[in-house]
Amino acid sequence: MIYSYPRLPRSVSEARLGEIAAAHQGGGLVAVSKHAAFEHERSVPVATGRVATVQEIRALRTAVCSAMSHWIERGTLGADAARFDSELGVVLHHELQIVPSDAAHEDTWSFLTLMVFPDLATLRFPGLHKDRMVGTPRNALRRVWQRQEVLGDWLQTADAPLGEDELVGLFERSAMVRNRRLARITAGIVAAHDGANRSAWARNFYKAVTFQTGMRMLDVLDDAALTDLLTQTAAQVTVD
Amino acid sequence: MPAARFMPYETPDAESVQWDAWWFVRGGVREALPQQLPGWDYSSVETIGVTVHLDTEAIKSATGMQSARDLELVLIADCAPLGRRFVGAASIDEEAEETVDLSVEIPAGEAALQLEVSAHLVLASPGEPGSGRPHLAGSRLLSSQRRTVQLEGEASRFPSEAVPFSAIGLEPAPWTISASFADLNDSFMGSIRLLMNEEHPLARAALDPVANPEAAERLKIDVFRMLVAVVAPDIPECAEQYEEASVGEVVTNMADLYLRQTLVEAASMYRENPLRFERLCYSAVNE
Repeated sequence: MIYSYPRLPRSVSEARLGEIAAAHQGGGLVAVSKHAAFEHERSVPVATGRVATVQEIRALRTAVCSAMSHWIERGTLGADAARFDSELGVVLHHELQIVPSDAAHEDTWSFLTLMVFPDLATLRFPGLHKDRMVGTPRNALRRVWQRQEVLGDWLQTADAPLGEDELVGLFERSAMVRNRRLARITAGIVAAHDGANRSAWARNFYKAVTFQTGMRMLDVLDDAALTDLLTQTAAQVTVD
Repeated sequence: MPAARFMPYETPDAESVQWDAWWFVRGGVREALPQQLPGWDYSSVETIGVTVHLDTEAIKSATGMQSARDLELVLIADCAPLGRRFVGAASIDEEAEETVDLSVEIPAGEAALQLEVSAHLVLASPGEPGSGRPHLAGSRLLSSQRRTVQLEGEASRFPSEAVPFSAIGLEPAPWTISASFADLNDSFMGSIRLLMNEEHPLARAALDPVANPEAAERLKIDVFRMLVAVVAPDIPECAEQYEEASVGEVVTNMADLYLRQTLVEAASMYRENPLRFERLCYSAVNE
């Protein structure tokens, strides 16, 4: 991880979102793509870290859009939004090479979403809700990068990868996910569960895991002990 | 001072563990941990720790453990903005009274904005169940108070931006709030921004509160009113407990501070009797 990126303050982001929305209304995704840019006069320089140059940001867009071109050409995701998220997470995580410290900043993701990849974010969330476009934790790019950062490539290679509801349910329990080992093992158990209505079961499982963290500090358990505990917890969980 | 927590098993007396002041290490020298870590940047590797004094006999007697080696001290450095926690641990010897330096290393580029550190005494390995004594590995026995340390300058302040409103297409008000949250439990710092219009004389005045206390007071009232307006549609009928540092918790605290009301009461008054709400806001900041 080597790069930091310029930052787009909230005030500028909102104005920029208005421009993207107007472009989308006038000319759809193609018009939004034409709005992609690599610098903004009101972006804020980062005081620390190696900030990506305009040329590097341009190359980043080329690489990511090339990898995601089959989605961009489709122009709509239909029922494949989860698969799009999964692919985008892998590509972004690989190509951004972002210092994790920089990835904790809203304004970084606002810049990447509203300046560099407005079309990818619009393709995923055509309603252009502020939550998804500004760099808050539910941002279109930030959340898929975060999922990849926490769960890693396993997210793609599982036989029955977690669905959107299951991922949202897991990542909304932010205290639980901060223990990344716990998050990965929990996600693995959900992916391996073959009972009916897995999403509803997963919600109850997450609650049961959260309950365990109240009395016990699970950080001290090694992988085997943690897996045992979570497997036993899962065995007692039912669907409402 | 320890943090109070009630467990369904016997725990040692709080006095059997003393958590000394927190420290950090720079250039090989240990210094008291300040509110804000000086000179931190993405290349910094930081060691943060706390010194712990244990009365191991008292702990063993209270928990029924045979050996102090069944215990472990754990330090958690929790970085919520980045979604990551760092763990340091130290084992305990059989000495009757022991002093342990417990620390954790924060790698370069892996933390941001702020860390919350806390220390815990836990059961390290499983014991025999029964008689109300802790026996599960990881069982929490005692915890220190949590301590927050800022890494980056902006983390402790009300999130705000000074910007010319004409440049971002906003009407020429002195200030406004930008809110982006889906739930009142979302982080306040991540959801709310105060936008100050650099072009407006009242905003410029409020940016210098010492010279212009009246403008600063007006700003406080407006910020509170705008926050209540923004959260009012999401407030349930009955009082709710919100997560620490969330939108709900911060506005609840402001309602208590300014109006001595719960957030439910303040939002209800804002909707049903806005003129009284306004008067109470003004009288509160002028007290």
